[in-house]
Amino acid sequence: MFNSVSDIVSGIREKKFTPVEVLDFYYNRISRLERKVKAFISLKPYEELKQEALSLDKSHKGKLLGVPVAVKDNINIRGFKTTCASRILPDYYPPYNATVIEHLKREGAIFIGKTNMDEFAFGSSTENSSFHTTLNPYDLTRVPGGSSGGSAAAVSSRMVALALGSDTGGSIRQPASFCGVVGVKPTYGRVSRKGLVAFASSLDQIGPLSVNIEDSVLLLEVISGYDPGDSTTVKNQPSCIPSDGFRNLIEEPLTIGYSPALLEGGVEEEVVDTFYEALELFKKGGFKLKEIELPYLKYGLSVYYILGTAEASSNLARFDGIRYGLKHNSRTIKEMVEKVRGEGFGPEVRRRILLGTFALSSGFYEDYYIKACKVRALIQNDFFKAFQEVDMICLPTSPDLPFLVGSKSDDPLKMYKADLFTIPINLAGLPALNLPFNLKNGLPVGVQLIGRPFEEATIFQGAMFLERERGPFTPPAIEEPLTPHPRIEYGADSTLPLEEEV
Amino acid sequence: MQAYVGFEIHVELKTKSKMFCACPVPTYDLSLNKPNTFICPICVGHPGTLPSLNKKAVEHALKVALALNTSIAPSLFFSRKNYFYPDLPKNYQVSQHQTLLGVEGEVSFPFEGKINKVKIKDIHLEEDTAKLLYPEGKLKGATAVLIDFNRSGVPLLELVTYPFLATPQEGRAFLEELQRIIRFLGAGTGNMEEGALRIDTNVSLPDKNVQPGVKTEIKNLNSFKSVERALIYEIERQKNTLNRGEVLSQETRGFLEKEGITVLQRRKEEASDYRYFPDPDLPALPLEQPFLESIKFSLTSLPGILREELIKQGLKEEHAFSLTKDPETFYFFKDLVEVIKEIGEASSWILNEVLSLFKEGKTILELPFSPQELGEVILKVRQGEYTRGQIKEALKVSLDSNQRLNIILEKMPPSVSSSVEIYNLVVDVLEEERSAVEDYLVGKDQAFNYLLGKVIKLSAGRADPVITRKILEEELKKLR
Amino acid sequence: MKDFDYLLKLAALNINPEEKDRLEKEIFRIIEYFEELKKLDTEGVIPLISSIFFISPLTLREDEPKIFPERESILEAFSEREGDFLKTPPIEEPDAPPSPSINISPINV
Ligand SMILES: [Mg+2]
Ligand SMILES: [Zn+2]
Repeated sequence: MFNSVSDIVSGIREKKFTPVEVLDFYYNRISRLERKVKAFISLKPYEELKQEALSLDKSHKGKLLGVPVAVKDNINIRGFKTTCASRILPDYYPPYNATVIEHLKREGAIFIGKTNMDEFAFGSSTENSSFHTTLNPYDLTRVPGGSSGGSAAAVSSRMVALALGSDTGGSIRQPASFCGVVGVKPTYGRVSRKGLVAFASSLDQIGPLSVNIEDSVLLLEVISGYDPGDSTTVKNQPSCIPSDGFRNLIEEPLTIGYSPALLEGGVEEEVVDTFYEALELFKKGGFKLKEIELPYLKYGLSVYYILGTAEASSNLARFDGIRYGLKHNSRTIKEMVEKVRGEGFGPEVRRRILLGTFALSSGFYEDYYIKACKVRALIQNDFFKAFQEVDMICLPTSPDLPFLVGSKSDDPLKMYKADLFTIPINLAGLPALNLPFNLKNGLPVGVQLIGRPFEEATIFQGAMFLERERGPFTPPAIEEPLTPHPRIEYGADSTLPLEEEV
Repeated sequence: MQAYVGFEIHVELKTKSKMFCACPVPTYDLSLNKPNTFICPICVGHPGTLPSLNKKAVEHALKVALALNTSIAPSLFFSRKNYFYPDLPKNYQVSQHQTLLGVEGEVSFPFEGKINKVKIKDIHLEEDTAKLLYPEGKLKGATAVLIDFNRSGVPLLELVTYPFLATPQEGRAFLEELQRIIRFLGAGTGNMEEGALRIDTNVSLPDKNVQPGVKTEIKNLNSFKSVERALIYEIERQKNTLNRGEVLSQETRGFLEKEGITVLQRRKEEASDYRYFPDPDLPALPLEQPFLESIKFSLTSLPGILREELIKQGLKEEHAFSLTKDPETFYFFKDLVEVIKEIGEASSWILNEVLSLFKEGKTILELPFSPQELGEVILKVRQGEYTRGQIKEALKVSLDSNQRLNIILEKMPPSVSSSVEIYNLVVDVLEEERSAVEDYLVGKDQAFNYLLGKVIKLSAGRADPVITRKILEEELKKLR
Repeated sequence: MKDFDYLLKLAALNINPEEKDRLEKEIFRIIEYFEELKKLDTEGVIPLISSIFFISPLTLREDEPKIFPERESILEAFSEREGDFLKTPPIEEPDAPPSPSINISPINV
């Protein structure tokens, strides 16, 4: 077992082991565990991966040399199928790479496969995937969170060293919390969205998932930066690497803001306890704590479900079965498009498209879309006011512990509330991360740190402190068969034929 | 025959790459011959693609917006217009709605010796759609649709006028001036037959209060002539309908080129619900003064301004107008003035000798000689080396044979300016044309020109007309 | 409230009747939840469209054409091809009776 990505890279560089040996280690775990966890939608064939690993041996440069990475299946890799976990994209092979993929390739990373997710990232459990539900490595009867549930579960079960997810309202942080891993939602505009299949363009960010903070810092640093291909990326970004760890904390203690009012009602006891335990550690370590008020945060849910669905209704209009994707024979084009969309999109996607269509439709635009934009401004203002007094804000990541598969899927509103603490951060465009903090009844609970725009370095600094003081985090103990299963080799063409085997 | 006339105009902006992607913008012919060749994931609406805005498109749009005196928005800002149609790869069009590039402008245009004005409602940038073709030639009855994305994402400028009271001819004059403005600014080719300038018009008769009445919209107009014909027909049709005691309905009509009539396409249904909202993929671009100033600099080249200057410098209005009919002619003229330093002479050469050579459709750019070459030759005429008649002939040969002017002139004998030679010619003509001489002597002045022509002809056009005239006058005086 | 069929039409979604009823109820229940925003006083608040919209201005791309090298893979993805064209079913049924709002016969003046 490798402790960190830098162990892998330096080990390869110092010729302690080869990229193929690293690959074999992880691929072996995939062979044994994937049938249980079902984190992936597609895997690259082993032989192909081996060839890639072999070709790396000679070059020996790159910050992610030989590091196996899993990629959420809404991020385009050239020539490798993107499905967004939707039936509407049964055979879409992107003719170009996402910018983050270009960055990772340059640094020598190896793409193991594409991970499961809620269809088009609409959901908090992966239960909205049209293929299968990923299971929580800590308890296979529970969900891994979502929508980047596959990426979180793959990292948690150590089937890969790193993963990419996307976060529109908590889709990296919440599954990271459920699966006991680190997940980062960068400042809006830090990471290029080019090649990320858009859900809500003003909220989406790609971010890292890893087993520790150090690895996420490394991965974020690699994928960050202005991209002429994404007009919403920001130039001259401050570095996300914490400069000097936490040495200066004694002389210049950082102030952590928290808001007890937000924990009243609807938050599970274990989550509240964990949150205060984390605050206690900060206090002991010399951080200053300060109560803050964020009065408009509670409206985040409504704002998010208006704006997020409005943008999604427009972003998903392109899936019509004409230029790519699901085909349908019909007598007229209108009939074809309506059938493709009616049959290709799952229930949650249809629901959100209709909500968004409503929010933009004539007569309702002002009262819904524009009103929500105004409240969004008030929410951002809440944070900016707080950041005049504090250096970072601490909140729970999710109000819930990982819940049982099927326990919320019948009630969309209940499911939407799982993102209560993560949504406002996307609305305000701030950076935030989940740090796995402890296990309650064997289930991971994380805390969330939120920073000023482009001050990822500060929240990394705080998180590294907590990570050190908290001590090692227990990885999931998935019962492993004594003899490994034969290698699962799903080509880029196949989705996992796992549903029947459970 | 006046009516309220309004126009909705789409101008293809002249850029090398498309509006939101780097795909080359093909020429009209190339685009027709190689479908789906100038395409990429962005202009075909693939998942995960994002727009990056072409600087040139913005500059062109601002040039036109400033030239039409619109007030420019404080920042450039795009919205999505959402509707499902197979020519729209994302099923939304990136356009402008909440904030438009320019509003409330004005265009001056010359018509029947006066300068008239049209008010511009708004001007904005948007992306072009893909092209739909029908195997059977038209939408109605087609068994399939063929889609070509070559045109998808080409930058368009949409321009909307307020309705103005005008005759069809006046409406046409406005459009022609607008086309000139676009061409002089270099913002577009303005070629209607290639779809680089697309015009929809709406017409309504004045009601009792002299306000625009019920209007009809006319589409499929692919030449200025068609616009004029459609307006003439439509005004007549509306009048006749009212005269019959029937009511007009708000509707869209198509113009049938061959028949010269408009036909009903659809009645106004409920307003389309385009669900416009700000495009979250494109942040605002503040349009700051220094940037706008640099663009204003290029506005000195507007045809109206150039015309005024030429008139001030002493040219006749109609000549100034002809010289500014397109930028190519004007800049040819300007370069010629550079060489021969005489504006009247340059104008006369271009209007009388150069433009008369062309048949419809040819442009001055196709001449096999430059304004500098022509200028040198004109200087030689001044020095008597050649006659104007000789050069006129040489220009024609040059164009027909596509040979340089110099080469043709080398083969031509120089002009006859020696007095002795011309004297001999004059004497010969006077000898032969006795009766014409008689006529002249009894006071028929027109006989002089006849005799002059004879002398020039005898010299095979080489005799210098000024010297010839002088000698002929002297010799005739002697006979008195 | 908006007619649900109207929304389905705008969104180009064909949904079977049983599901339609359920979906309609769900949608309007969620929209009801959104009503909580109505009571908030947002007088004078500038709508926030995106967090960076007015902080980080748009960068313009120089007008330099570049050919996309993988044109063929775009064409391969087309639902149907005719040569290099993308082929789709017609916009109207070819043998459809003339719809009342469309009249293509010339009108005599
Ligand atoms: Mg338009
Ligand atoms: Zn393109």
